[in-house]
Amino acid sequence: MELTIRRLSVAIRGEPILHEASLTVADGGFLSLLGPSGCGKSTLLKAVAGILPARSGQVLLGGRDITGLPAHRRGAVIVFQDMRLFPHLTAAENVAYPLALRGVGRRQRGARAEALLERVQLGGLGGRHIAALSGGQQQRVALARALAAQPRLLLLDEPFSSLDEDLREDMRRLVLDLHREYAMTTVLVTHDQQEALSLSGQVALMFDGRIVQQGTPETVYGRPVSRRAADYFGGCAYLRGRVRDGRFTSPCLSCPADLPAGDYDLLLRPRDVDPFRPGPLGLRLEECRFRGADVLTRWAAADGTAVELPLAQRPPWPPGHALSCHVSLDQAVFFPAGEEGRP
Amino acid sequence: MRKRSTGFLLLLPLAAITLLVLAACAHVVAQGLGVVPAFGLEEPTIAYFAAVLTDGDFLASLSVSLRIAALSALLSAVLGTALCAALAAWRRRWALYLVRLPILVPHAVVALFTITLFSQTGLLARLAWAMGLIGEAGDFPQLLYTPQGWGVVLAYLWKEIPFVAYFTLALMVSVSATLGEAAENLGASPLRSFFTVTLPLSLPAIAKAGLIIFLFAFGGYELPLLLGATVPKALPVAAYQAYLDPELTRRPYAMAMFSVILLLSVAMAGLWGLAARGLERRLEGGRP
Amino acid sequence: MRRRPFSRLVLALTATAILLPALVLVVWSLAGRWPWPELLPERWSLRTARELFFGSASLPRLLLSSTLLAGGTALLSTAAALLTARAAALYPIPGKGLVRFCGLLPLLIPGTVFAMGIHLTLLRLGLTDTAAGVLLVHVVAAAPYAMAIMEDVTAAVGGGLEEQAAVLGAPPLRAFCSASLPQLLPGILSSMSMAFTISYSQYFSTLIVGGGRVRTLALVLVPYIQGGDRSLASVYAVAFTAWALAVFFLFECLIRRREKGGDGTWN
Repeated sequence: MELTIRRLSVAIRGEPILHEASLTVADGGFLSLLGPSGCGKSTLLKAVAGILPARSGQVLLGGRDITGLPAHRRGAVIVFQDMRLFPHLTAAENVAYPLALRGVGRRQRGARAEALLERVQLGGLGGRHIAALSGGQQQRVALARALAAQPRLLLLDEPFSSLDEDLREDMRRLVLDLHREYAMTTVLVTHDQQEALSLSGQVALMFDGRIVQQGTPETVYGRPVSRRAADYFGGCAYLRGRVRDGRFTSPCLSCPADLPAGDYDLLLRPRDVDPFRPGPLGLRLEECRFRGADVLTRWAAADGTAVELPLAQRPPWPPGHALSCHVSLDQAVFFPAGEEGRP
Repeated sequence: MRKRSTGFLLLLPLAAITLLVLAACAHVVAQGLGVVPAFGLEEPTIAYFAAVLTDGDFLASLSVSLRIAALSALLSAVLGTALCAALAAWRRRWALYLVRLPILVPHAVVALFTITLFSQTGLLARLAWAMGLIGEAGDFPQLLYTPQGWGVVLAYLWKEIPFVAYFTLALMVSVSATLGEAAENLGASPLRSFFTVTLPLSLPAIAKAGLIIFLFAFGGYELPLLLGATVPKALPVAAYQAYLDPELTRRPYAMAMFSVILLLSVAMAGLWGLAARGLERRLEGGRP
Repeated sequence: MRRRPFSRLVLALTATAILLPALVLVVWSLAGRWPWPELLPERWSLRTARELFFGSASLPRLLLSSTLLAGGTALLSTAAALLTARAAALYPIPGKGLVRFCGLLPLLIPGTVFAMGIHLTLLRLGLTDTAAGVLLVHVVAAAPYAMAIMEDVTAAVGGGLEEQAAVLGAPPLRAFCSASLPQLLPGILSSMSMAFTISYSQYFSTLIVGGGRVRTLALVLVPYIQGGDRSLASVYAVAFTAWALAVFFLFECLIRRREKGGDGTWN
């Protein structure tokens, strides 16, 4: 079901946390809500689910305004970071809980719960108490329980952050599969950039209680709306220059730029720079650090700007070596100079 | 979504209890000030308070009660702390249940314990006779029914030493398991670590238990009734006796006495609150 | 492993001091004649047991009235404490410090003064000399202890599981009963056990508010002690205490069964 959030503001104990946040998730869509910890992501989820009251604004689900509905009548199910499994029930009883709420008969409940546990690869563990399950298994039970509620909207609140890295990848896979299978409108809250970009069709970026950008992963990564948005994904370098008569000129390079005259910073990401192809950007190699999967190289541009490039192998040049390398500028991103100080 | 209005609804029972307590106190103080409409007394006056506070019997009762309360609170706190330290060091579940038993035993039963053990014909006196220490019952020191109130204090100690230990135990276990171990790791002997780290940090709980015992013993009725002296009586016993006086015009004197018990208790709790705040500030590392 | 001679000595002394008087009381209650300076009774007798069951103050009726009163106190004070603790821990209300202070207020007021004052108050309401009036006083006396326990437990359990139940579709009352109540149960039982003990031991408040019409074990025991028949006083005291312990251990069993395991701090 389509989720629309319009200018939603939320305060906790009088302290404003969300400021007029707006976003849309298409029916059956998967959106990642990405932002640093403490930016209000979880608050947004709780307000959508009806646990926290909205100070102003609207939440629409399937076109219906649910802002005033109590949590239990919204059909927006959260899978919490701390899982919140009922410790006095077994795994199967946890999964059967929402079925009982909907009036499903006892026998049918057992069968459905067992089938859902099977689906999250926990077949046969239904009789276990929660304390007897590992963290990853508990996470799967929480997911199966949420599915059992047949949510109109599934809200995942950093569900993988308490797991080890290898388990986390399994769980991401499982969530993707389940999303495809059930075609449920899903919002995933995360502070992990790779997770957000790789899992979902849409990414919404949130800073300080505000949604600053929403779009496809490619757009949010490739066309950041602000320097802070760009920096959040890491690995950014900026070349300071001036635009005059439709051309950007800096001590390091110059290129066409369709911008009003003024001082600008040109965003350079590692994927834009190729030291093995000749081009206009002058760089001097400063140091190489082996990191296992790749080698991180540090370069200095002509104006002293530091540029970090991960390379597949140790480059053939000694430190101090200078070269002129290729820069891809078809999608060049400029920010007005001086934005680095701004939020 | 949790609404503020629902929260206020949930507080109604507490509000009712608080109102009842305040109304009860107000009634006692009002009658102590001579306002007893049922007897046709409407004008407030401090005459009854003045009369009570200058009465020698009352002052003797007051000093008996203060003595009992102070001795019970102080000795329970000191001995209870020692018991607590022993429990924290040698953790046995049976011991935990053992110290909870006296908390369950009603005061009247404790009074009977004290009589069967400490009276001049009690078990201790018989043991003393059997060992040839005394020749007859009268030789055993009179502990009960004396103005010194040792019988009452002994009974309170039996009940309240375990109370202090139980009340302080959780805090002391957690302090000694963390900071106490750290001190021992730095080279402090167990005794030194206890007196320099564990004890000071457990002090807030011990002091709070001490206050509760003081207030309880100061206002308590059964134990001084059953184990205390006839002259002078402890304050609550004297006040209740004044209340029972068939001469109804004596009623405001009784209420003035109850009011003094109330006001002194509240003053004591207030003083304690100030002292506790100072102590906490010192413990949390603020400047004195 | 240290041998801890000090701790063992203290605990041994404590155990003796706690258990010896109880033993002496049992002996006294079975003593037919125990003159000074004998260390053991001269003659044993079941006279007191006959008096206990068939005398003027018959035990079963006293136990019943004491237990009903204490049970009612346990239920009501724990319910009041639970509501208060939930309001303070989970609802956005102002003045939480005041709520906590009001909860502990009855502890600061001496029990005798409070009983006296509430007697004067109930006189106006026409509730003196009734079981309802006595119940009310006992509830107030037990409330601070119940509040302290329920405040801790409610804060520890928090509102998370109820939120989860709500988003899964449970209406508020069902969410509380199915998600939070099972976790709160050990605390609720502790609070009830505590409140039971407080009510069961009340003497002065029962005397003054009940006006002698409401007869409990505590009320009957005091005149027996004053009367000087040590055997008779002892048999009532033993019955009184034994019942208190029985109820306490019943609660403990229920709590232990709910909690399972243990924290490993005690062995």
